[in-house]
Amino acid sequence: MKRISTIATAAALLVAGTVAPAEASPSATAKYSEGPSNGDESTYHSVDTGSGEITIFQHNTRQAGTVHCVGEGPRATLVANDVARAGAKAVVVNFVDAIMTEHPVIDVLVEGKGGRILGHGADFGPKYYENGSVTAPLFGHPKAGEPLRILIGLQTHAGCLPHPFVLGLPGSRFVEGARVTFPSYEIK
Amino acid sequence: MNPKLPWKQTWPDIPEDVAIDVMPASNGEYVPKPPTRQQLAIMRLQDEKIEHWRRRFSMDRRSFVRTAAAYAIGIWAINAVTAGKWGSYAFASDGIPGEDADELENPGAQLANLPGEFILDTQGHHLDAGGRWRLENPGFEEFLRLWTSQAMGQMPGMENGEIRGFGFGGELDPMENLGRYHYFKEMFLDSSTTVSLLTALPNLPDATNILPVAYAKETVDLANHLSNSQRCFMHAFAQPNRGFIKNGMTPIHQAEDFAWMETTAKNMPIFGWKLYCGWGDTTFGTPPPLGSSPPMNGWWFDDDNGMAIVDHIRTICERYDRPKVICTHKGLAFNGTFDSAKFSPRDMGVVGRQNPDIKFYTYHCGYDGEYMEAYPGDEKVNSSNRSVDAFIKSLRENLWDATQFIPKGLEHGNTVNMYAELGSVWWNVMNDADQAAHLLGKLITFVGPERIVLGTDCIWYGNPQPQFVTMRALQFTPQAKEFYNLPYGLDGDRFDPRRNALSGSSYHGHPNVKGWPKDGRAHPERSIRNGILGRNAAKAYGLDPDAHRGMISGDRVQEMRDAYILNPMTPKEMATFRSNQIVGPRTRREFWRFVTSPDYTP
Repeated sequence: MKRISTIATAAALLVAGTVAPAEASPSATAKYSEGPSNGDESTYHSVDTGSGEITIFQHNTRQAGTVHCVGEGPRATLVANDVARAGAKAVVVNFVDAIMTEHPVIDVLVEGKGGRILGHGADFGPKYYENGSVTAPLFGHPKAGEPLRILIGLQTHAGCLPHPFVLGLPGSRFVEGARVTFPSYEIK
Repeated sequence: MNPKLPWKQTWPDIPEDVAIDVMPASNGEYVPKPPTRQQLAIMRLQDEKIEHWRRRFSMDRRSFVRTAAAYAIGIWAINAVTAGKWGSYAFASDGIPGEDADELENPGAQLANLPGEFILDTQGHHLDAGGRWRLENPGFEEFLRLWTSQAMGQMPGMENGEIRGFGFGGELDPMENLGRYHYFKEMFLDSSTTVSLLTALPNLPDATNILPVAYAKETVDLANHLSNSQRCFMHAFAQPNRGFIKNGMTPIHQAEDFAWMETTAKNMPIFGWKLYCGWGDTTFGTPPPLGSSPPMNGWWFDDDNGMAIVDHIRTICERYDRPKVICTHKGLAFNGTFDSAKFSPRDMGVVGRQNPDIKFYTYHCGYDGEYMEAYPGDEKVNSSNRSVDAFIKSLRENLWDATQFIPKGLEHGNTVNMYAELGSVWWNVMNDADQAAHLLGKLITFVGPERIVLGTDCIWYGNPQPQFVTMRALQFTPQAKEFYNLPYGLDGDRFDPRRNALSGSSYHGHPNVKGWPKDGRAHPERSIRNGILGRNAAKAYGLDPDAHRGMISGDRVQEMRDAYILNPMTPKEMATFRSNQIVGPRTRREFWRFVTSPDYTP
């Protein structure tokens, strides 16, 4: 019962947003637009381009008897457009008030001219109102003045409910969710 | 009238199943799908043609379904039902699909290897049917009984007044169906396998593993002794998260497990390490409030556990001169059991880039039952999913996919150290030529023609031969050839797929490839197809694919069975015939029966 109540609480926090973030950062310095997103009927996602907040949620109510566990996990991204400076080595994305169950991933992808991928970085749940940063090293060595497209996102896998007779075993969670605010980033 | 013999046959009749059974099955890591209309149509066509031709040859069905002609009919039936815009099946090197089952004399259906062919099955399995694990982990036995129809596909009972055992092997002890004898029989006697890699199954400590390392070594030694050559080699299992409590803390058993790994590397002929990122330790788990309940503690290659084990494997492999090879299960979610999120391949690109000196095999390529289509583009793929596309995205987002490594003057590249392993993936898509073409087309494009290896996941699926026969027969349509820039499909030279490996005109030197033949003769051993079937893996593991390998005698394998027959619990003989039967569970009901068992434990 405790297990169910813990999960229900987490779900309420993530979806309803009834509890205000401990240190909200509404004055994001980055300018975002909405990026690509994914998700099947078991998922929810939203992005706030003004504050830099991303929310993903998934209720794993597909029966485990479904084949394999085919599906599309939730993914939502913010896009920031910038320009590379000479000798840029990394993009560091700051986050605040990160509340995440254990499986969502903070994923940062940096693209250059023509969609050429330049760098990638990630961080994982679980997090409970944490602040921090994700560094995406620029393996692709952008040229000075090259346009950068920075995708900042949350994503997780497609989950399935464990079989009803084996609840208590490890498996996909009943719910997965994350809400993280990305107020700023730096090109270093 | 025949005289009445003084004894009765006490073994079951060998089955009459068709040669290429495309009906759903599982390796135990997922619930089998319901059959599609295509699969039913393929089976119906095969059945009709087999009946027609065996009557025409006045053969009984049991004998006919064991001929190469029966395989030819199977391929013809798949092609007749599924050949489409992207792929088709044909044995002919000219790529023309057969239009009738009359083409019964087909070289691609034979057990002997074709020109240039060296089959290295990178995913062979069996278990120790008499192991300690059966006492200490009885739930695992229940799991395996329903996991695999080899073990439990048929119920025991009386048959012609005699006791018949369990499963397709007909053993009184169901686990014996998955044991060493059947592994030898299916792999080395009844298929075209040249070398089998006996890979590891998860569980530590090793003494309670269903295939302990020492037992696996006995199998390897036996195979190599019987053939007086190298026919078998092995992996060992490693679990970096046993005793994991929370991030930032060293798992409780790490020192003990690392010490065992070092001892194993020192004393055993280990050719690589098998890991399961989603294999948790159910004793522990991430604490609340948002952590695990129930415990789930799989791991990523780019978290503390993952990086620690990669470093440890590097250290001990260098210390004891073992190949630096790490193989990991990615994909196949185990349907709600295990920490299925960690079976996402999202970390493969990360770990590949971080450790270019280590070879990584992504078992199952991240596949989890999705319909196979062309890679839809980076923008549309979530790398945290389980799918072949997620695996490709993981490589691409870390600039580690094959397109980053295209040599000057060529149009295809290979990842530095990342291998795509086809275990269960090929089994699942080979019954649809379009899906099969897309699977291989995108892996060739993004992982590389020299980085795809065929594992069969057998003995769980029974006999591996249908997987080899379909790989021999797959053809790309003109549209697929153009889309994937493979003008000769799988017959292209894997060092430059724009050249035809089956044509002597391709071999008068190459301006951009060192060592390119200049003899004007065809080089089938250089084809992409033969790379996938074994030569790619041979290179990675340091084996000589052209070394002479001796035969394994069926009589010698039968001696193993003779010893087994002496066991009073198994009073029955078996002949060494290809079983034509699928090993994995065939229905959801079979799969789920075990999970209702009160003593189930993964």
